Amino acid sequence: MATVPGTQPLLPESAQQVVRRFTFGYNSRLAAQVLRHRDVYAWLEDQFQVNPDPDANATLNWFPRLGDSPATAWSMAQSGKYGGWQYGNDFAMYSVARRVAATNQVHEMMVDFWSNLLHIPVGEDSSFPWRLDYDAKAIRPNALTSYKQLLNAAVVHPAMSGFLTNYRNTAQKINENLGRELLELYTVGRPDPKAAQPHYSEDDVKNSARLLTGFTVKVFDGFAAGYDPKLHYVGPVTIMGQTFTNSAADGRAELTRYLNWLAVHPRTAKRIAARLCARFVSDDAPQSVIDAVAQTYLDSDTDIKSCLRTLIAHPAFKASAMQKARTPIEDVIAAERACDITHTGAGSDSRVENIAWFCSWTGQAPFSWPRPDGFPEKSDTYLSPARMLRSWTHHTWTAGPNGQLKQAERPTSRELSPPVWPLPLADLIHHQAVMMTGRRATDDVVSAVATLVDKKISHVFKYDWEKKNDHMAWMLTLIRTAILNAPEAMLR
Amino acid sequence: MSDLHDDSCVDYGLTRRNLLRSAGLVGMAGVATSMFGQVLTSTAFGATNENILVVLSLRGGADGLSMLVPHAESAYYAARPNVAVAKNTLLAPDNTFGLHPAFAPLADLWTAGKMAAIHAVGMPVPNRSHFEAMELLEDADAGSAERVGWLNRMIGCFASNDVFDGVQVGTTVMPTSLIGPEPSFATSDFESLSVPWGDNAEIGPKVRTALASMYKDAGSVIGRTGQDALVLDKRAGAIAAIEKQGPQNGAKYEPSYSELGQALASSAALIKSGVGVRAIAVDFGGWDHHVDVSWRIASQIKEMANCLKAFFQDLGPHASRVTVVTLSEFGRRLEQNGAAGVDHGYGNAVFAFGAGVKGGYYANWPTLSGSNLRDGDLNVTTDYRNVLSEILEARFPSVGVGTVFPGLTRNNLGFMSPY
Repeated sequence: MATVPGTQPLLPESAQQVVRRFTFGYNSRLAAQVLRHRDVYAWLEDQFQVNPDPDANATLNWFPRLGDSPATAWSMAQSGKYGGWQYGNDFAMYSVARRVAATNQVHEMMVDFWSNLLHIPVGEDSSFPWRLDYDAKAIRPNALTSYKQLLNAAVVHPAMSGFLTNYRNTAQKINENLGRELLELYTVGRPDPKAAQPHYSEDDVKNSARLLTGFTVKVFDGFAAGYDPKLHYVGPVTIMGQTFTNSAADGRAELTRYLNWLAVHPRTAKRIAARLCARFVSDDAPQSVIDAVAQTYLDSDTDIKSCLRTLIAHPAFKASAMQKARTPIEDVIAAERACDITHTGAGSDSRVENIAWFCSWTGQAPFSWPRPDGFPEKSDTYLSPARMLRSWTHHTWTAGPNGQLKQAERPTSRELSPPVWPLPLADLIHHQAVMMTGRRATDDVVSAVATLVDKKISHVFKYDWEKKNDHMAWMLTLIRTAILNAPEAMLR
Repeated sequence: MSDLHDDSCVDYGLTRRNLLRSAGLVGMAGVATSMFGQVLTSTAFGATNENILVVLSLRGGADGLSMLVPHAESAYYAARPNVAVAKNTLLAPDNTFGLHPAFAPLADLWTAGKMAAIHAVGMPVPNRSHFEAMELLEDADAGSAERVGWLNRMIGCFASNDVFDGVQVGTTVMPTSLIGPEPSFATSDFESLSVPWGDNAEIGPKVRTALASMYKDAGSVIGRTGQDALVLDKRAGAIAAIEKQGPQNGAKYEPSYSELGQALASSAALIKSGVGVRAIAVDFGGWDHHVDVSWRIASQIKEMANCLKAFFQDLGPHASRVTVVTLSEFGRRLEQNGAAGVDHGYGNAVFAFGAGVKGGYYANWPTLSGSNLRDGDLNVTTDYRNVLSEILEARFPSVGVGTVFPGLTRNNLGFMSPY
């Protein structure tokens, strides 16, 4: 009997952990990409370069309305031709499709991470015309630069101004909404309610808002954005003990000084480090790795790549293998990649539309979190029994080679089967597992498959009827379902 | 509100409604979602006659001063020249209070003495941040850094310790009140809660066996969750079957598109299915009325009153086991703002309905006179935990109130009949 190819992992386990944490899921194309480099760390450095990614960029063309200017989007919504919620759906589907397709997986992951920290829900009334621009101009170009740059780009963006009502924040009438979230969510974090001496007060919040005055967005009226010095509060303000002279009529330079000062505040360092570790190490990451990342953050003037290098090099990272659960969205995208389903468009009832719905059905509609604090980073939050049942069902619908997909392609059962005959069941299982997850199947998965296909583990496919397409397709469906439904496949 | 300060914030309720229209992408976006605690006792399908608590969370900070109007206070009318609820429109006024007229659908419940309206309730210390206030409210254990919610501690007091201790419908993200060591689960409804091919007589049992063998490690969160999922798979069908029969006894959840109505209808099905639910919580968002509070809150109250009326009707004889209580993260400012709305304030009204409730108005009323206000707002004279404790003591003798609300100094208002 010939040796069955593709039954051994291509990447060492340490490399696989980096891949699981910093991409939206393994597939053999990704493995080949990593193998072109000296090791996974060299691959990571290459990913940090954010090379051109035509496959990912092409997905934007599937959503022609996302190209609308804010003024056009507003007039479309106002006339009822294309609602804010439709722009929101388009953006959500675009993001999901892009994560499946992207070659720059690390960049996509960091875009998701920062989008969740600096969260603006999609389809939201007062920001939707600017939502794509926020992604394209504020988050994406800065996702692997420095937090200083990212914060400066995000906080003054018209989408942020709309969502957190900074457009109504003027010298004459302070609206503290953005000024508060800037402190509470984006930088130093809210004071401990039990702290004797809170690190900021309600006056600090108002002063924070004062430095943010002057930015304008004509919300519900064409959505033009600008800056009007007449609306800017001029005069010294003190925030957390730091005084800003704020003497210029145009306050933008002073705001940059404020944001830069906030970005390098030790409390911001701790907060960003803790959040990075919650996403990439574990729900309850050891303080030692948080401290190390925070130190690098400060030493490197908030450089994001340096922070990630420190995080990955820390022993706590290696020790945390399989300690993060995939969120519903991560799981849907990982399954799509594991099954090598490639999308070709996003029309009505397309596969892209389907998987956006799967995200929702398993409990996490993309960018739907209604509040500015973003989806929880603690992944165990998403492990509920109902979600498990629905994720298992979604895997089953996704795993098989049968069934037509609209505007998407997937491998046929012939393409999935190793070119070996007779074919031992156990080898076929490992072959599929390596292809989909990068790792061999566990003993539990092998025996679960034996139960599902109602055969002994030692079974060897050897009869002609067993080779027939429909029979093999059904066997592959059951095998691949078990692989995706195994606990380790839902962890990263 | 001082005239130099615009305290308006995003109306997250509006945002959610907007998202809701996007059918297919609504997973997290429910205006009304419900979560279910201690759903199914370990005696599986054994019908139970246990009492049930329904917590209705009015997210966004409901304006208690519009819902339960202190009509005898001239300060109320002075502070709200355009948005005060007129005295001659109030339902069931006594010398101090009256109900907003939109409560009309619940007039029968009030007359029957099954509705208590309690004023000046809230957290011991003001907190005007939506997230923080809601989190503190639901955690309700000020001295502890542990993130364990009060509902989770409550269900921990039942002997069953079953896998179904908490169910949330509408989102898989647990609210703070349910987070903790007691298991809980989340879903948008009771349909499609079975293992893949679960209805197929040939492959269904094999799928269950295969999953059970892969999820046998109860020492990991994912292992435990998988095991819980397999138990849910066995039981959800019965609830879905009842759910499919629709509302009973002529109950109509109105308006028909009401998310609150749908959540309460699902909750009623869960109760009627007799699988042993103990605590249910339902979210009803959209109370952040910075703008035009008058018509907005009238519409919210009307929806709530209609749906609660239908809920008790739908429950039929089961209603004798069910107590409903409302909670909101904070009340709103006494003074109206420049947009005919009211900004984030402090003291609030709480309502209790149904089993065990002794109807009427209750308050250690602090009055609205200047010196008795807290930062210009209605003060809190009743800790909301005491309201909940009184219900727990009256209806759930096995629950240790000291465990659910550690360190609370108990004070009863007397709105519950002893069990």
